[in-house]
Amino acid sequence: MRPTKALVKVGYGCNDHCSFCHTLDVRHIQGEAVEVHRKIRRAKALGHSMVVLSGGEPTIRPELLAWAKHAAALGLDFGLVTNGRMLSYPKLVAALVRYRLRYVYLSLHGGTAKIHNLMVRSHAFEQTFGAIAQLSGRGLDFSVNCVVTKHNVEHLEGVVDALLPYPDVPLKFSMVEPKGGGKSLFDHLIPPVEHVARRVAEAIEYGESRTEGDAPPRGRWLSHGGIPLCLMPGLEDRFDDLRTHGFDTMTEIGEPDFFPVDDDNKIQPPKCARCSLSGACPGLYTAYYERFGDQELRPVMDRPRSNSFNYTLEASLVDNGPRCAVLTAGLAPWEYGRHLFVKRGDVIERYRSRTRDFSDREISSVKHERGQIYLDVSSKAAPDDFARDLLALRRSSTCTGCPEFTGCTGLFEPVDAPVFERDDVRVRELVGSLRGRVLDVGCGEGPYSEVLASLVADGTVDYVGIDPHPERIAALRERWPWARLITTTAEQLAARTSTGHERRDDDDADPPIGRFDHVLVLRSWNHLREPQTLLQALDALLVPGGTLTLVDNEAFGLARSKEQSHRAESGPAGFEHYRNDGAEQAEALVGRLSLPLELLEAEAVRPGRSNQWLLRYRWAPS
Amino acid sequence: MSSSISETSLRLHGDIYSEASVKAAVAVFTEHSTVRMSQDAGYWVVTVEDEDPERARLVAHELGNMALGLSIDAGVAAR
Amino acid sequence: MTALRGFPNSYSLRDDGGVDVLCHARIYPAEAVFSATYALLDRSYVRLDRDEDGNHIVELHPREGETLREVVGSLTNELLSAVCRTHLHQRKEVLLESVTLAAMSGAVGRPSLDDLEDFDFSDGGLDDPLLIATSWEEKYERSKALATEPEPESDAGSEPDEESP
Repeated sequence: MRPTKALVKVGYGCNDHCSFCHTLDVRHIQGEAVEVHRKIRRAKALGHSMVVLSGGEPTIRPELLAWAKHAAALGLDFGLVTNGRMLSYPKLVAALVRYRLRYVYLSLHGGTAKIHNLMVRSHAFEQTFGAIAQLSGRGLDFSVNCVVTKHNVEHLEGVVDALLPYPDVPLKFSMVEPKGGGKSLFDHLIPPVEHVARRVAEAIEYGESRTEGDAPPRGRWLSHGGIPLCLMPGLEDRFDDLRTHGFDTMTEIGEPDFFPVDDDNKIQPPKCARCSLSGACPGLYTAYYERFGDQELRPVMDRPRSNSFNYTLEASLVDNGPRCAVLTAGLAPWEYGRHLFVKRGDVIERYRSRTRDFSDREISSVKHERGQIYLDVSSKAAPDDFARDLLALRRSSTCTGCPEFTGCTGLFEPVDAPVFERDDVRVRELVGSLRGRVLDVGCGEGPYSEVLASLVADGTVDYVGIDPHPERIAALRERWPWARLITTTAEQLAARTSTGHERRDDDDADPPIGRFDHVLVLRSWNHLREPQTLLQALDALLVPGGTLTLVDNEAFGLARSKEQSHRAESGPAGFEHYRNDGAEQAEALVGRLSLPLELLEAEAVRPGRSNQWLLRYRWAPS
Repeated sequence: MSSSISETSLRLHGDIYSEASVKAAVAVFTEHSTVRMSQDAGYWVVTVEDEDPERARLVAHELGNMALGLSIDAGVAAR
Repeated sequence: MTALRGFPNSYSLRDDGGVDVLCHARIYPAEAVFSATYALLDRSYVRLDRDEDGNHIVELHPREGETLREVVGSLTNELLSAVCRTHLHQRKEVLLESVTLAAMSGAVGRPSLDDLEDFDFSDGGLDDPLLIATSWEEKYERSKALATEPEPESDAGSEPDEESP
């Protein structure tokens, strides 16, 4: 089972004095031992399997073994975020391992005493490096973190070299955060993130080359953090942060409870809004963005991304009512977007989403603003009949009038409302009302078959469908012998029509495609790599007065059992969407292109509706 | 033309793996491959058939893990 | 089957690339074996068997992205941890009982974990002959006073010189 870690700060005193120390202003504050004991118990009550102490430097506290022992007595594993100096004592390491020490995240900022000691402003290298020898080979979840500042950015390969003798020790390079010492010494310490990205990528490549052919294979032992993913091409999956380490919650000294681990100190600027990598990307540290802006970022627009995510069942609680079970459990530890409490009869189920395909902001929006979360009541790897397979989840009436309504993760209940059928009725009506020549962009699934077949049969509609997937076109030809179907992408079609070089399809004996009375983009808008290319070709595709109908689905979340999630996430399904636009984003793009399109109808996604939106325009050139 | 079918067998000790757990795991993985369950000398014998030998092996492995996880869960719950 | 290099004889390489680990019942109670193997399910494929003497045999195959030696190492570690935890649990039971007896003499019920929080868990501090567990401020204030050890580098903006350690 994957451990779930709770991070407990025990105080901010330290035996090093890193130039970039995050807690520079509070180094004099040390927590009371009893506060840490209380939080160890709270971590257990919240269902965590490991408590990890951090600081400051937790190993300089005389209560260290007592805390470890307390955690072990409660059946918790124990971990440390540390500079490691005290762990150069073999006896201490042995004692901690006896008390279930399982995880160590150790800071080493240079491969030599000269660099490391400069960074931590102490004679620490020998002890920190000595700790690595003590901890390696014990089967611990042990990794080394190297914070990258102006002082060591040209010496990262030295850290790689220093760790080569320890085949079980992964190494992470972290962009320095402009906080505490990092903020007050900004100009001395903070290098351009693009430069850091380049040097980190080189160090990773160097490390891989030095360990290539190792037996047993060393695996992917080098990672990075705090660097926007667009600056690490080919190494995006080496991204590493508190969440990839299994941290769910954390608590600072003086805080009354645990709070979710979040990315509130970072920002994804507006430039990143449509980037395919935005789900897992850390973005930029806010203070860095305020100083340098976003000019170094290069959003990636051409990679497919997921359009759904799973909430996986973690625990079930008995609803003892009348007091709200979420309030009783305490509001603080639950993430606004990623946790989900569902009331089903007398039981309240707690789900959590650990997806990195979506950012916290996106997940919160799907759950709270768009209302697109569903209970998966099917036994399928991927639900394909939403009306039967999914039950919509709505905020429970228990929450009505609650003073915590807006900040709370909320209690939800399934409702058996036919949202999918209801919203599709309008699309079916529109398809049924078509007359003349119709171009269906992305027709592959072949929806509304019975409506279209009868319209074509009686000569009301002349139908042309395009889809980029030859196997889908071939399958559809079997079902729709009455249709003219072409294997091409919307962008290719647009390119050849807008340049006036329309030609016969090599594999198709049909005549040139011509202009249409209606263009349909039904659930394929978000599959288009460049929707603007299609829009810009409309003058060659639509007759004056013709209509453009855009229908698509926004992202949604599914509450699922562990088995359902496991099956779905290990399945073969790939991503097909290039973005998860809603009606607002599509309408904004149409607006930016200043096309002669007159909006006839708009239906956006909102709570109480399905995740399907609709826009209909008339082509009205002057 | 018929393709050859690969077969992988799992023998799961009846005192370790509960019948309900093995059945639950078989039910889940029946969607992925042809899975049969029988008994032999105190063992549950699960046979996985698939055209792709690698897939048969993987399904058998995953099925074994699920059955073990469920069996341990059930044991813990019973205590 | 051949032994797995670097591991005890009870670890045998299988012909199919996996490994069999024999867990003697005298050392590893069933509870510990279950606990340890459960923890490995997300990193490896595990099959448990039991021989005539009641010893458990853990058959392990690493999942994609994992190496055999790593998962075997983890199993070893988890087994030891589980045994250790069982012992700790037994010791905790003794502790609970002793506190309960004391509490009963005062005519109160079985103590909660809150009561145990006041119990002395300490080990009498850390053994630190090199005085590593001294805060930076305390150490360098003292050093300045004694003028015996220079502060290594207090100006974050300057480069390390050859004299730096």
